[in-house]
Amino acid sequence: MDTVAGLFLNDYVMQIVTMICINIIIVSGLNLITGVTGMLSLGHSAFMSIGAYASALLMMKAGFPFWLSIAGATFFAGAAGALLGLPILRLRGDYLAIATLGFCEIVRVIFLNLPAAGKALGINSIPYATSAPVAVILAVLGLLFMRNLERSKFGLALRSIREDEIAAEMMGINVARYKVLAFTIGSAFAGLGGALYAHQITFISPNDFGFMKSIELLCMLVLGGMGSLIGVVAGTVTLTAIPEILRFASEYRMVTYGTVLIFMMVFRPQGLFGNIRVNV
Amino acid sequence: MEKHDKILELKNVSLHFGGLKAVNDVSFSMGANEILSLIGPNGAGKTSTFNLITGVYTPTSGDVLYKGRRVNDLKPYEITRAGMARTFQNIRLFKQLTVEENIILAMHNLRKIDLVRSVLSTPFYYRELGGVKKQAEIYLDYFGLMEHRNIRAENLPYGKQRELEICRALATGADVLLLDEPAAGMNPSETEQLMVTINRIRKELSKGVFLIEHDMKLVMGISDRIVVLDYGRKIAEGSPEEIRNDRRVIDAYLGKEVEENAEA
Repeated sequence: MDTVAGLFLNDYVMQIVTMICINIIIVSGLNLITGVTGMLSLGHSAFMSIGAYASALLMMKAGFPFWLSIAGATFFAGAAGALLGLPILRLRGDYLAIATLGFCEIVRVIFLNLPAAGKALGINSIPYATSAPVAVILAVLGLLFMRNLERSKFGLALRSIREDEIAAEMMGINVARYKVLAFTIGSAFAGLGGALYAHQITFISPNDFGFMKSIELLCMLVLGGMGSLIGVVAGTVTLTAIPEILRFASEYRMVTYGTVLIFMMVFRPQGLFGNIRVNV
Repeated sequence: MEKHDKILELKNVSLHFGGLKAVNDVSFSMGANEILSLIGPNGAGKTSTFNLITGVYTPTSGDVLYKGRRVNDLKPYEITRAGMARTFQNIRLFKQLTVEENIILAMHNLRKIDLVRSVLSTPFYYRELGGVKKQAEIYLDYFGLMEHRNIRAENLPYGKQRELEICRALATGADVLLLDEPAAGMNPSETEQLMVTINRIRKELSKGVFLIEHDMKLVMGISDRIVVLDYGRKIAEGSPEEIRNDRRVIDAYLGKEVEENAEA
C-alpha cells in the first residue's frame, strides 16, 4: 500500500510541476508584452487556446509527431499575435486592454462554433505527451530565451517603449515594429504553453481559455512582479500551487486567492520580486 | 552662405489645425555648425515648429529640407536616423532605466547585432556590447555623468537630468540637436553650466544646435542667429544684437517680458 501511495503522490506532484512549468512559459510571454513593453493584454489566454487547438489538431488530424505539433502551435499563435498586433497596437493602456479582451472572446466563440474543434464539447483523447521533464526543459529554455532577449538591444528598446513611447520613437526606435515583435513573441510563448497544456490534460474545451484564464495569468505576473523573470517563476509557482495546497478547503480557495492579491496590491504593488512601476 | 552649408531649411512651412494656423508660412535655414535660437511668446508656434522638423506633424504646406533632402513625410524615428535628435520641454528620460542604459538605447541604430545572436548570447554579442559600453562611457564622461552611470535616470538631480537628455540626443549620432527649452527650471549656475556645454558641443564636436528658449541671457549669450515667431509667423531673424533692437520683437515679446517683470 505504501508504494502505491508513494507512486500516487509522486505522480500528483509531477503533474503539478508540469503545470507550473507550462504556466511559467505562458506567463513569461505575458511578461514580455505587459511587464517589459508595457502593453496591457487581457487576451493572453486566446493565444494559449490557439496553441492548444492547433497542436491537438495537428497531431490527431494531420498525424504530426509531438515536437512538430507544438512547434506548429507556437508558430500559429505567434502569427495570430502578429496579425492582431498590427491593427491594435496603436492603442494604449485601457483601450488596448479592451481590444485584447474582445479578441479573447472572439477566439473563444470561434472555437465554440467550429466543427473541426468539436464545438462546445472541445477535443478529448488528445495523445498525452507533456511529461514533467519535457515541461521543465522547455520552461528553462524559455526563461533563458527571455533573459537574453530582455538584456539585448531589442529588449532595451522594448523597455524604453514601456518607459516613454514618445521619447523612444524620438531616439530612433521604430516603436510600432517593436511592439508587434514583442506581441508576436509573447503570443508564441502562450501558444507553446497552450500546446503543452493540451498534451498534458488530454482534453480541451473553449471554456478552459476564457477571459478568466487571462486574468489568472495576469494575476500570476502581478503577484510575482512585472518585468522580472524571477517574479514570473515566483508568481506562477505560488498561484499554481496554492489552489492545490488548499484543496482540503476548496470552498475557500478563491477567497484566499483574492485576499492574497488584495494584500499584495496594498503592501507591495510592484509584486514579490518586481522593482519597477508599469504604467499601462 | 553657400547652399550646401544649409543643413536644415524650412521653406514656406505652414501647419494648420482646422482654422488655427499654428505655423504660418515660415521660412528660415540653419548652418551645419551654427547655434540658432527660436524665440517668441507662449503659443507662438515654437514647439510646433520643432514637431514639424522632427516628424511628429507633417506640414500642411511647404517643405522641410535636411541636407537638401525633403523630410516632410519621415516618421520621427526616421528623422533621428537621418541625423536630427531632440530633447523635450518636460524632461522625457527613460526614468527606470539606468543613466548608461539611456545612452545605450540612443545608440540603437548604430549597433550591429541581430536578434538571433543576441538571444544565443554568442561571443560576438559580448564583444559588441563591450564596444557599445566603451562608446557610452565617452559620452557620459563628456557630460560628467560617469559616476552616476549605474543609477536610475529618475534619481539624478534636475540639472543632471537635463544634461543627460542632451547627452542622449548626441548619442544617436545626430549632426543637429534640437533642444526644447533646455534651461527651463534651472537655477542660474545650472544655466551657466548649460551654456558652456552647448558651446562645447558646437566647437569640439562640430554639431549644429537649434534651441527654443525663454532665458534671454542664454539666448543672447550663445546664439549666432535668432528667429522670432509670433502667432505662427516669423516676425524677425538676425543676430542677437539685431533682435534686441528690433521694434516688432520688443512689441511682441521682449517688451512684454519687461512689463511682466515690472508687475512682479
